[in-house]
Formats: sequence, structure tokens, C-alpha cells
Amino acid sequence: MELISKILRKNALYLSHKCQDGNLQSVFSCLDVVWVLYDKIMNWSPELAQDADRDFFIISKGQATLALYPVLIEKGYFSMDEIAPQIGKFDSRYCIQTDLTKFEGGIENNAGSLGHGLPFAVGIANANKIKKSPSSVYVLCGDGEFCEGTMWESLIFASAKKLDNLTVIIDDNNSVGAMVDMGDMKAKLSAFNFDVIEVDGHDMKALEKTFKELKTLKNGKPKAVIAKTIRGYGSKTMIENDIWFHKSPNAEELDMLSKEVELA
Amino acid sequence: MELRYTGGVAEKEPIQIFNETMRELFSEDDKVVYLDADLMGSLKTAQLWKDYPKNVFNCGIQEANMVGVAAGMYLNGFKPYIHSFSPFASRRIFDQVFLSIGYAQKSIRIIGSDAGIMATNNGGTHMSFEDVAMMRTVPNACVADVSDPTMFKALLKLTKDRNGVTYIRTARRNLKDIYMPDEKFEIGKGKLLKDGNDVTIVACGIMVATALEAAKELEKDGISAQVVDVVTIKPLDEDLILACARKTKNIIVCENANILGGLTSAVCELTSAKYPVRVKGIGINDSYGCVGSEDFLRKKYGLTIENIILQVKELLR
Repeated sequence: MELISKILRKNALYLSHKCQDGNLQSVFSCLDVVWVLYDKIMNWSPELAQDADRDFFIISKGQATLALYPVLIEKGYFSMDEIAPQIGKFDSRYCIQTDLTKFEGGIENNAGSLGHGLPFAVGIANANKIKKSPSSVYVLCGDGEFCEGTMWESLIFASAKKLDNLTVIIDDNNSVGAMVDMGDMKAKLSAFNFDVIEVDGHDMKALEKTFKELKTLKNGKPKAVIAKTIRGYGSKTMIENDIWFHKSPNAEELDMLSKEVELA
Repeated sequence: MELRYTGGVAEKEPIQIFNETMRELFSEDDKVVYLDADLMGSLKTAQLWKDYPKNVFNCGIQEANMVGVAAGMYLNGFKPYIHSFSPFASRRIFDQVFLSIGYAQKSIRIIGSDAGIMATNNGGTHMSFEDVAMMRTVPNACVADVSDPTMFKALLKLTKDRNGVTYIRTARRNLKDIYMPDEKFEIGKGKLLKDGNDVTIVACGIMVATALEAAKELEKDGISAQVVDVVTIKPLDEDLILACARKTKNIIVCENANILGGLTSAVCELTSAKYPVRVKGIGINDSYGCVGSEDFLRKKYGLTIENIILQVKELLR
């Protein structure tokens, strides 16, 4: 695993430990995707956080908010010293589900009630088209989130409006498989007239190449990236134990899991 | 105040008013957009769509997504108006309205048409009695029940730049003209339409005209009733309602919605805390809708001139 992947994961572990909350399996499955977007793809920096033509990152799978803070810390938007003592405190602005009401820029949406982020992202992309803004919109969704009806409503709208400035990323960590068989998502998305690419969601080079390739396709079709990921990726213990879907580490576990990440 | 109420059907139906007003709004402000979920036929807005393709969007039958899309468009500077039948413009989209708009500090104007019994032949599935109660619970939301086409136009224009959730429920047809065409409206300001001493009839929406008729009949029996159109159920014109409570000590509330959480509740919440008087609600008493003509449904739920007269007399006995 690349050095940055280890740093991000260790920071997510630490934040989860500090607030005694979080869905770490889900965070670890999408961290590499979020990092590549902010580091290599998006027209975004702390200075551009309120620029009208910035690229947007919408986290529709709100349970993975602890993936966003470490990335924004590395990008210099937040500092660990600011977040760590505050996260999870009563009425804190740092929640384990993003809460935009407490920020001016940086956090683009409220997450938590699933099926909200994608419609919101589609609206931003639609407005950008009308305004002829160069902005691109990236929205991270869970595979399970596609059980929500609004997700499919949004796909229809995005495709009808030819929103090729929209990229829907599915963090395909096979969490939905335990509930329902979603079938062939690639075929489904293609049938909705999306350009679809499947990629290893932990291979940063492959992710970068995929996003760059899609960005060049100004063909009137919205984009979808099915990121094949592993829940808890980077920690053997977390991969093997689903209790880490919603569990935070105590001091001992923090130490143990951090070491696992270091050696991964 | 001067009214043009005659009891006859309005010169212009709400549908026509909506089309005219949106045209005016589009030409005044190119950031105004109107989104519909496949009910453009109901508002007869097909021509509007043709004439303003950059301002009008038909999202298809997807009300919840339409709200999320509106939130995103608001973020990028647009001023969305959305429309559906009132149950779909409230109950079906409530989570999106609450979180994607309200909590997320976005702004939207929602037009819920065919409110309450005005869904008539579409029956119980389309008959929203609960929408007022639900929307009142969204912090800082504005909830209005349209009583006359002039008011509808004023509300559409007044709320263009209003922050937060605005919910405007209206009939699509069969409203009466109440106000003069140049009447001025304000959010949170009710209208005292008729003065009186014995009882105040506080009404909203289609019940305002009914209340005016009932007050006229009551005069014949020597009962002096004053009539208030609240215009907005939330924010409620507290000063006006309290002044009425002090003056007449008796209040009858008339609404085309469930009295649980509706205007009746709003009036009781206010008076019980600040000036307790007897309040009686005429509205839907915790039941579902059904198929029927407006006449039939008015009789079924007691939204008639006769029932107002009866309830006033019982209250004053």
C-alpha cells in the first residue's frame, strides 16, 4: 500500500478512536478513491473552496465521512489539531456524517439519509451545464445505496440531460450482496446511457487513469466508475471481522490496527 | 377593506395565474426555474416549457429526485419552484424537503396543487389532509393555503427570494375572487375581511369564501361574525389572531386539512399560551379522503356554510 494510503487510514483510525464512532470498514474501502480525486483529478484546493467554478465532491454514502476529513487534512483545509479534540463532541461541527450547516465551504453536502447526495450532485451538474461552467461533479455512492429509489430517478434525469460533467462513483465493496442481488450494475448503468468503467478501487494509478480518461469524453453521456473495493482494506482484522462495520477502536485496538495498516 | 367577492367563480383560474406569473418571473429574473414531475398537463404548462426551455424542466415522475436536483440548482444560483399534486409535493418528498433543502440551508418554493378535498375524483390517494401539519414542522418553513387567485400570484412573487422551504397549497380551479387585483400581501400578515363582535372565523384556502358566506348568513340571525384569512398558516399573524381573540373571545377555525397539526392547532398553540379563548376547529377530523365531487366532499367533512353556522351557534350557546 502506498505511503499516503497508510497515513490517511491511520488518521481515520485516530479520529474514530477520538470520537468513539464511525464506520471504518466503509471508510477504508473508499479512502483511496477520495484521495485520488482530490489529489490528481479535481479542480479544488483550499483557496478554491468557494469558487463558483470549482469541481464538486459530494459524499452520498454519508457513513464514510471519516474518509473525507483525513483527505482534507492532507490537503491543508483542516488540521488534525483542530478536528481531533472536537470530533463527536456535543454540537461539534465535526460529525461522523457530514454536516454542511456548520461550514462555509469544504463540506458540500449533508450526508446520512441515503439517496440524497446523488440527486443533489445531479442538480449541481445540471446548473453547471446551463451556466456553461467548466466545473465537474464527482459523487461517491455506496453499492447498497442503489437500493434507494431516488438513485435510479437521478440516473434517468442525468442521462436525459446529457450530464457528461457528472461522474458517479460506486464504492462497490459488496455490502449490498448480503441483502439483495443487485445483478450486473455495469450493464444496468450502461443501459441508462452512462459511460461505465470498472476499476480496482485501491489501485491509485488505475483510478487516476480512469478518471482522466472519462474527463476527456465530452459525448453527452454521464460517467460512472464502479470501484471494486474491499471493506476494511488495509487492515486484516477489519477485512475479516464485520463487527468493524460500525465499531471504533479503544486505545489498544488503535495501536494494533495502526500497526496492521503500517505493515499492509 | 375593499373586496371583490361576489360568490361567483374567479375571473382567472389558478392554472392561468400560475402560467402568467411564471412568465413574469422568468422575464424579471433569469435565475428562476420551474421543475415539474410529469404533471405539467395538470397546470397546462406545456407552452411555458416550449417558450422557456432554459427555465422549465420536466423531471419525469420522480418527485424526490426533483427536490434534490432543485437543491443542487439552488446551490449554483438558481431559484427553484417545483410543482406536484399536494400529497406528492409534501408526504412523498418530506425527507428530501427536510434534509436536502431545509437542514441544508437551501431554498425552494413548492406548489402543492389540488390540496385537500380539491383532489375530488382522484380520491383518497391524492387527497392531502396531512400536508399542512408536516410542512409546519420544518423549521422556518412558510406554509400558505391559497384562498384566491390574486393571493396565489402575490405569494409566487413574494417568495422568489425567500430563504428556506416555502409550501404553497392551492386548488387548481373553482377558487372565488376575493381580493381586488391590486391588493398587497405580506408573509405572516393575515387579512381581516369582515369586522364583527361575537365570534371570529379564522380561515384559510377554499374555506375563506365559505366563511364569508356563513358570516353573511349569521348576520341575519343577529350574530356578528368577523372573518380572517390568515394568508400564511406559518408564520401565523399572531397580532391579528390575538386581537380577534381579545375582541370576540370565541374563535372558529375553518380549514381544508386535518385539524391535527393544521391551522386549528396553530391557532390553539397561540391562544392557549397568550390569550386563552374557546377555539373550535372545522376541518378534517383525523380521517382519510375519498372520491367525490367538491360538493359531496364538503358535506362529508363538514366544510359547508351550514356547518359553520351550526358550529358558531353551538359555540355561542
